[in-house]
Amino acid sequence: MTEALVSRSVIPAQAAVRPRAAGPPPHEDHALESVTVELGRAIFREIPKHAPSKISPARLDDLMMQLLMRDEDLRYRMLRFVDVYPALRTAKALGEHLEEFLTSPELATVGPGPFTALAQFLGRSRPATRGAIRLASRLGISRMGRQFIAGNTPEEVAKKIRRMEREGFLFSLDLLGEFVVSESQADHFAGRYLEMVERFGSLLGTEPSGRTPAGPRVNISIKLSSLTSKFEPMDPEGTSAAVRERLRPLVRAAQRTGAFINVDMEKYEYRDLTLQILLDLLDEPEFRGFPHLGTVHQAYLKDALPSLEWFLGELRKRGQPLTIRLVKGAYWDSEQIWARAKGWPIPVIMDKRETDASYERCLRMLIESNDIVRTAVASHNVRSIAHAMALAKAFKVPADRFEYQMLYGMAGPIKDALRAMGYPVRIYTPCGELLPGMAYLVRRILENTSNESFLRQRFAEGVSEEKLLSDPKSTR
Amino acid sequence: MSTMLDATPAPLGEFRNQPPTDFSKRESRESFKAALAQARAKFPVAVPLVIDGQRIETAEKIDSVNPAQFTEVVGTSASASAAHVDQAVLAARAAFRSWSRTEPEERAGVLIAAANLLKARKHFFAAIAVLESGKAWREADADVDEAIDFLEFYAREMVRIGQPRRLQHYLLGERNDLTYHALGVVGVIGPWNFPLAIPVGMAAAAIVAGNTVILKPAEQTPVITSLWVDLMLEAGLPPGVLHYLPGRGEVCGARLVQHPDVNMIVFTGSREVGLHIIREAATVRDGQHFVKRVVTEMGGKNALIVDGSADVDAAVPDVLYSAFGFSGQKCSACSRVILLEEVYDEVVTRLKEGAHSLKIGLPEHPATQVGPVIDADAAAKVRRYVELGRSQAKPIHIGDVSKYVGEGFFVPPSIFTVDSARHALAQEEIFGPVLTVLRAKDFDEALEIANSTPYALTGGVHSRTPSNLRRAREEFQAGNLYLNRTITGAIVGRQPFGGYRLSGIGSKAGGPDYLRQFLVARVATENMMRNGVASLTESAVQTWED
Ligand SMILES: Cc1cc2nc3c(=O)[nH]c(=O)nc-3n(C[C@H](O)[C@H](O)[C@H](O)COP(=O)(O)OP(=O)(O)OC[C@H]3O[C@@H](n4cnc5c(N)ncnc54)[C@H](O)[C@@H]3O)c2cc1C
Repeated sequence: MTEALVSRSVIPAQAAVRPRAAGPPPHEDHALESVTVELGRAIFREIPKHAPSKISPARLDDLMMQLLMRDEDLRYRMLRFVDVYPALRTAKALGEHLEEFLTSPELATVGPGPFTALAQFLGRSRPATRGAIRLASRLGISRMGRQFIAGNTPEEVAKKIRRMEREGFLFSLDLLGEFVVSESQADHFAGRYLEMVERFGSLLGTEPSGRTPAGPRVNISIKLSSLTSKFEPMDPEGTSAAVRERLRPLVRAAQRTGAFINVDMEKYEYRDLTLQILLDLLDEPEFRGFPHLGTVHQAYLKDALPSLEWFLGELRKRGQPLTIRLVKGAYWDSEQIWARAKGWPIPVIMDKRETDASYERCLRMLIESNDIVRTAVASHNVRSIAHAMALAKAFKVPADRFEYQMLYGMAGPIKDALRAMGYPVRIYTPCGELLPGMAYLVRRILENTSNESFLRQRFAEGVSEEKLLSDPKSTR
Repeated sequence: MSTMLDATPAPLGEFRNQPPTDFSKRESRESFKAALAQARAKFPVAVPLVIDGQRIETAEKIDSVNPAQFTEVVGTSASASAAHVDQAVLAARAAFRSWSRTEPEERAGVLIAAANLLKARKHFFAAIAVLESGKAWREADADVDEAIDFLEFYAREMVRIGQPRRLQHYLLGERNDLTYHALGVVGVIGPWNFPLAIPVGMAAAAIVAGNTVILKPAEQTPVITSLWVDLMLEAGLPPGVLHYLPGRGEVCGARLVQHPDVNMIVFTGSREVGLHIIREAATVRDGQHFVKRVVTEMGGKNALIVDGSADVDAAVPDVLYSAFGFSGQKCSACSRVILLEEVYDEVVTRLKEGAHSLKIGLPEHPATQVGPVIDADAAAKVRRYVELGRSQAKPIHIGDVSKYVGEGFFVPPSIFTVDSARHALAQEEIFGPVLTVLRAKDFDEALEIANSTPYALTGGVHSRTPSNLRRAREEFQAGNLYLNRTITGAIVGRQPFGGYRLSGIGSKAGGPDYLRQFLVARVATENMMRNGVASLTESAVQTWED
């Protein structure tokens, strides 16, 4: 019975990525393709002008990343070490763990790499050498943390954001925190969010003049699972009621202070409920029509397109404006492991080019609905970005209906290039301590060092521009 | 020979676990709600004895009630007498001859047919488990999945073990064949805490091995097991192979254990009853020709260690779920958490807050995390320990169940800290939602505390220190050790389940050794040499494997 239920509700990859019938004729697609490539080339021409490159291999972090890309064994060991790092309270514990993680045979999943020798050397080396390596690793990880997490406190982050704003960027603030299992933690999170909605604007001070108009200045990204002790898809009504209880004060504050709230997207099991809660909230009279809300759509899901179509339909029914951030999706590895463990169909697309193609199809659907939704193109992939630009051009999307978003600490030169070309670029900026931020950090390292990552292919492996800009929707 | 399957059954594919229901899908939730209503419409379900396919009512009745709302009668079951046991044993003996000689593939085919029927009615069976045993949706769903897994797994195991083996291949002129044979009549005595999965696993293993079975369910949960007995008959099991005797333990259970023609008793339940069965089974009675085999699974005092390198975000929910899921009434449930100094305060605070946020309520509501315990005796026992905790330990959390106690067997989910690993709260099995917190100064002491009870069923460690995990693998006394996860929810084939010490005897359910317990091995040796001529055609001989 379950099997039947499951397979009925998950649309197979083929169906999910089938282009909609009502697209422009093929020759227009052709034109679109050449504009995409042209714009992509323009971005690539712009990139070298923005030195010093944040991803130049000269930097220590990047060296680290480079090493991790070269050596699967080390990458796995380091990810495990980075994961435990914040729990290590003393230098002794740190040193012992580093050695264990580099030498422990249990972790040898992929056979010895070039670093096995280093690990063995470390095991035998003198205390002074070991001490130095410990220190380096401590600095290394805090560094990596600082590369992706803007600061511990709102004040620190505000300082960074002021600088970003002066350079012409927009921001969205993300609060990192503990995994919520109790109502008091959920209250705490809601309190932190509320404080940010209400106070972050004054922390920032006066706004630099001449910024791109793209909605409210204060933009906060929140996760609904941190607003309840029990985000339970099995109990959608109860969960929606509990979450909205804590969400209402935030949205009221946003209405009052003129801030923007974005609801981030988490694992697949939570997707439908997350969207439902947002719709439930928008059905409450006091929030009806409030335009400064947004959510996220993940293109790497096999049913990304039908789900987007359903959601857009729901918005249209209500005449509700909204911003939709289109991403590929941050939980690609985890989703497969979770699904396999349960014997469920894998919800994510298993071919990188298919994900990219799905992204472009979702983009088109969003742009076709630009009367009701604003689109935020969240990607570091120049092909994906250039295609969005080409579509926006072809469909004559008004400038304020469209923006680009990237993550703090990633793809610096691409951000700079886009901004220099006059596009609005918003930087998703995490704030919080390293400890609760670890899951976020590990996701970023996984992403940056993954074989399929655009950034890795472009900046570490030097894959040709032509290849990087090729149409993912065409067969290879 | 059997009533079905005259053609050779198709070979079985590779074993796969039954996937749990994905309740994030609307269709699944609606199907489950509909199943609850459908189940309720049949209440009270009449549960007769089933002997040789005959449904027999008795004058005495036992009510099975919904533990969350005890005015709701889920079913009314007949109650078997000693004479019914004798009658069933006679019928089981009569059926043994032909069933034990049925080909393993054919016997396996019946299990597979039953598994398919159960899959088709999965939510209905799960709904009965919700209402009869007080399980939350996911727990009830998992109970049925496990039953399906046992059917599918043991079917394949029997086909594997059923292959005749030729031993000793380097000598010409001698042939040795090792074959496995059924034991005879097997008595299966089930628990109420996995009212479907465990009786089904025990009985299905016995049946597929060629034995005939008398199944006595727990007094609290006769309905769900009886529905499975009907389903087995529907799947084509010859009626003499499985007899169903709900009733009182002291009456029919006792007779079953003592009966000279019952060759094996398989039991899951309390330590007290388990040890009693072992003693009774050791006595050879008039007319008995077989030393009774006994397999028992009897509980634990399971501990989970959280060390200083643990991911507290992951450890806290894992402890809460392991301790309070199904109100702590799983044999595998966590009843002790051992915290190292470095994380003690943080984890205690977060456990307290987490426990405070647990949703208590009727299991039929999907939001419910903690429901009732099984019956009045269980509730009284838990309350005694909560009182003990109040007076002789430090309460961290005692839940509020005042809203529910008038209607169901609700007890407060509770957490206590104690100073000594010898404290009653740290030694005795409570079988309810009571968690005892202990402090350890280092990992050595943590292991020492973990191993300080007479049990060895499940255990767990939350740690990101490879050497601590390595040590736990070697030194933690537990039949099932779980690292960096919950300590309940063993899955057939992946986590064969069972303990040692006073947690039980026998090999692990859902594992590669389980079926052999239901079989005797025989070896036939033939001298193949006559006048210096040995058979030279014996080339393709199968050697011993696994
Ligand atoms: C501003 C911003 C906000 C974000 N918010 C969210 C959010 O709320 N929720 C969320 O889930 N993510 C979010 N993300 C993260 C985002 O999903 C990843 O950063 C993004 O997937 C990286 O894609 P890319 O286009 O930059 O890079 P690319 O290198 O082009 O794509 C990498 C992505 O492709 C997919 N992929 C990788 N390997 C394969 C494969 N073998 N087969 C198929 N697909 C594969 C994965 O999704 C991977 O992340 C956000 C990102 C940004 C920039």
